[in-house]
Amino acid sequence: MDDNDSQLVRRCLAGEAAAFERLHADHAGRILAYFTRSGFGRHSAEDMTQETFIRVFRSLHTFDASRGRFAPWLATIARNVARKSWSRRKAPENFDPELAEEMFAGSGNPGLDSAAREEVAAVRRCVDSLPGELARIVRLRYVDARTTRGIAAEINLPESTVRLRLTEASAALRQCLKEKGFLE
Amino acid sequence: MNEKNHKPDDRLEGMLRQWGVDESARPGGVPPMPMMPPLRRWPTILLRWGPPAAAAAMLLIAVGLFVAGRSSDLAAPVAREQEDVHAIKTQLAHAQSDLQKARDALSQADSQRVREIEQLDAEIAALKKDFQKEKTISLAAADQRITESNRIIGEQKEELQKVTGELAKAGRELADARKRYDELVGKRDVTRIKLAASVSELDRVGKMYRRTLADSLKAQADLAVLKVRRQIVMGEFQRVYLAAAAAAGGMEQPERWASLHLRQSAARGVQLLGRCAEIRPSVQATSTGRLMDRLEVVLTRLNLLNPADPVEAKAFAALVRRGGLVKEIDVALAEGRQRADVRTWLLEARLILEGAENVA
Repeated sequence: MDDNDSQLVRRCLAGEAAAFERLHADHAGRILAYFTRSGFGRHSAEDMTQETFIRVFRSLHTFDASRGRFAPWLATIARNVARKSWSRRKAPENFDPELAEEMFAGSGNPGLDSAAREEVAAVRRCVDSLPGELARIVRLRYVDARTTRGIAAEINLPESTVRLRLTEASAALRQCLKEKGFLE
Repeated sequence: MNEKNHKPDDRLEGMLRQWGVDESARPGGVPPMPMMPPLRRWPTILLRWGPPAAAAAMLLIAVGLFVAGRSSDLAAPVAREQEDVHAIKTQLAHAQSDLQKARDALSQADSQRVREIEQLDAEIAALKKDFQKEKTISLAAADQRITESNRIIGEQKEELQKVTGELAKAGRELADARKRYDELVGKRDVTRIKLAASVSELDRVGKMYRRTLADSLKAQADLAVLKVRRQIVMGEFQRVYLAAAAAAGGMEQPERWASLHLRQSAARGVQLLGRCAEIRPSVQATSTGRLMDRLEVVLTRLNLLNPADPVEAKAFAALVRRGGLVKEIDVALAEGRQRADVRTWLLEARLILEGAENVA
């Protein structure tokens, strides 16, 4: 996939607009998710995503594929954009920075292999099978990267209750994934 | 708040995180691609085509001058030459003006390019710095993981060596235990043989014991029979003796056999006390002598008592009972070391006193 990124960069530098559109389509989702998971509001995150890709476009001729992969280079630009706007975040303690960084973990591969896709699909089905409140809490935690405090603030429950719900959800998910053969 | 306190196990946590990443990065709501600003187009055109355009203009001017010089050599009219010179000068001025404009544009483009380069350099420096920082952190984390892995491997090696040593030790102990077991089995077999022999011997001894016991019981039974017979014989003998002795003492018709009166008369008839005084000096201060002294006292008491007085009779019977004289006489006779007259006297005293404790 990263070879593909490098080819797209070369095609961009040759003036092919479609190549840049492809780069944008491949990576914009992760960049936007990184900003929202870091605690930026939706509009701010969209603006910052656009700013990131403008910077990428302007600096694309400086990218050297022999010195590193495209995705970490893009992640560095996104982090710089985020760092310049840290003060714009509201209640950053409600978001888990470790989970935000997960968007760039293994970011050289925006897609998943077939086994991982099956695993993700199984988790999705199990989460969907949870009772409404538990599913919501799990989504707030792992999709929106909220801390328990952030979840508690979002759904107006005490933090201790959120922890209890997370524990219940984990037990239910473990049982569900065991039944599907994804956990021992 | 420590989020890790509430994490499920690592495998489930990893799956949930992967799902979360995939879910949050799914297409939808992604902002449209920005319209790329034409920042580099005008400077790029200038940089790429400016210098060739200036060179082409200079070449055109030189060609014009060369053509003008060639025209003067052909003797054209002076006025026409002057006009041409003027036109050429005018063109040259225009060309110089255009060239100056091009130079100014080129200068501006260069300045803009320098500014852009500086800006890009700054961004590159920041990116390099971030990259270096990230690289340093990653390398440090990797070094830490390698160090931790090496430590764990070292610990596992030590543990393996320890377990291997313990296994070898256990093997040796097992071999020793097997050896001891074999020895114990051998000892057990020997012991079993000895035990069998002992059981056989015990059985033989048991049989012998049972036979001996049976013989002993038979002998006891025989002895009991003999004792009964002896008692019967002695009883008869005593009755006959007492009757004979009492008759010798003057009692012709004994009123009741073995009564104190009969015994008193018998003792008197055989002169038991008188014979005691005769034979006593011949007996030294032995147990028999002391027995004879005690018998003399009792016989004297018998001689003096009134048999019709129940109180005296009772007191005499109690005296005989307490003294156990009959048994002592039996013991003395059993020793068999006395003279014949002493043995006779003791036997007669026994016949007179035996049963006297029950008379009253």
